[in-house]
Amino acid sequence: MKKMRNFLPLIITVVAVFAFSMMLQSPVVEAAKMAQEAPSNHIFVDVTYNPNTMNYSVGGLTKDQLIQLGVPEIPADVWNMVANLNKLNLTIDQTGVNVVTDDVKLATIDWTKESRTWLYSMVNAYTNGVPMDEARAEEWLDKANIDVQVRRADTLSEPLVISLDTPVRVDISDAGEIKVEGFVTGQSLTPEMNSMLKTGNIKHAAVCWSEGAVATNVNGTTLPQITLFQDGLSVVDKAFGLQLPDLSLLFQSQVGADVVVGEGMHSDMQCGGN
Amino acid sequence: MRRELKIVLITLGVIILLYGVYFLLGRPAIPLPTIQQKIGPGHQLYTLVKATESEQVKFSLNTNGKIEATSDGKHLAEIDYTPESLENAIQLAEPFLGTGDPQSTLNKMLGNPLVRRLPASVAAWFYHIVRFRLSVNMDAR
Repeated sequence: MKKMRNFLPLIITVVAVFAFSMMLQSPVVEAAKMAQEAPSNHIFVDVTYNPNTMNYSVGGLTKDQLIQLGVPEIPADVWNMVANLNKLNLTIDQTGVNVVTDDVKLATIDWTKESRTWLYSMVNAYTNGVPMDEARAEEWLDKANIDVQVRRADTLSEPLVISLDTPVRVDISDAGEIKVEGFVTGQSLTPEMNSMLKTGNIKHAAVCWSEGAVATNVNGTTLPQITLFQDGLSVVDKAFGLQLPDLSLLFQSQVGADVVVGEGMHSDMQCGGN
Repeated sequence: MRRELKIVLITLGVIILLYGVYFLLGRPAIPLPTIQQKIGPGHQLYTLVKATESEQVKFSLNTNGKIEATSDGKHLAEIDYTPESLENAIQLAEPFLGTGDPQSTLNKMLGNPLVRRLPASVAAWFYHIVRFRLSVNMDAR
């Protein structure tokens, strides 16, 4: 019993060290969770052009690269329109739409929920399709932070920035037909892919691409996060001779998709950890 | 007190003390020796490894939840997991793992809940308790 008493201080010390180390570990996780910003859907497009040479560049891509991607060339009447313009800036945020030409304010539209209701009725009046989902449009526009600048210059435009916290809603019917944000795309999944969804009993999937990091949630459960690097894609490109275009823009972007298979509800998930 | 009991208690005390220090240090991954593997044209990853500048790719599993592929000091790809996300991935993959024949050995094994839980349990143990870093360097030169 006396010898046992000699061990007690050792055991107490060990337990104390262990408890103290546990206390030191926990605050680190809490601090990381709090570092989040308000969600926003940010798009920045820079366009440079020269009416004399009829050369232009959009989002960091040259005229030739744009044509290779299937973007049609600028028609002659547009060139006539911009011949006397040096600079145009269009910004859309949560409060207003501003158009500035050559540093002179051309138009400002109040961009509140009320003013947008008028816009939705206009859109519905001029399109004979399915009425616009106003609540969904609000989710997008309430976080909108769009900046388009068009300027006369011979230089390459600045890279396109797309950082969307709101994921695009995709609906896949039981037959495999795909709708994006409620619009029928006319595209369908292949029977093999549809069969895979049924075998895996996948009813809902959310995927976010954020500058190379792919976060996935299937049926409400989080899957391991995969991060791709440009160097890694270059190796795959070289190994299999894929001849991929310059993907650096993709690695500066954030986009996501919230996919529902069959009759399910979309989640209110946001990309970018919000 | 019996000598054997004394030895057991001291050993346990030392182990717990060492583990306390390890925990206090933030449970760093204990690096294991890198396995060098020469691969030839018949290997599944040969084309990929050959496409890198050094013709070498290092795959590292850090049981704190990271699997990474690097080459020439550059990151190629990474997978970050937690025991929960790994278990979710295994559960998602389960319907695709069977052979279709319910009497096959693989399907019988997968039908056992203990076997199904084993990979996630092992991953959780090495994630939460003791962490290791295991690396395999694939060389296609």
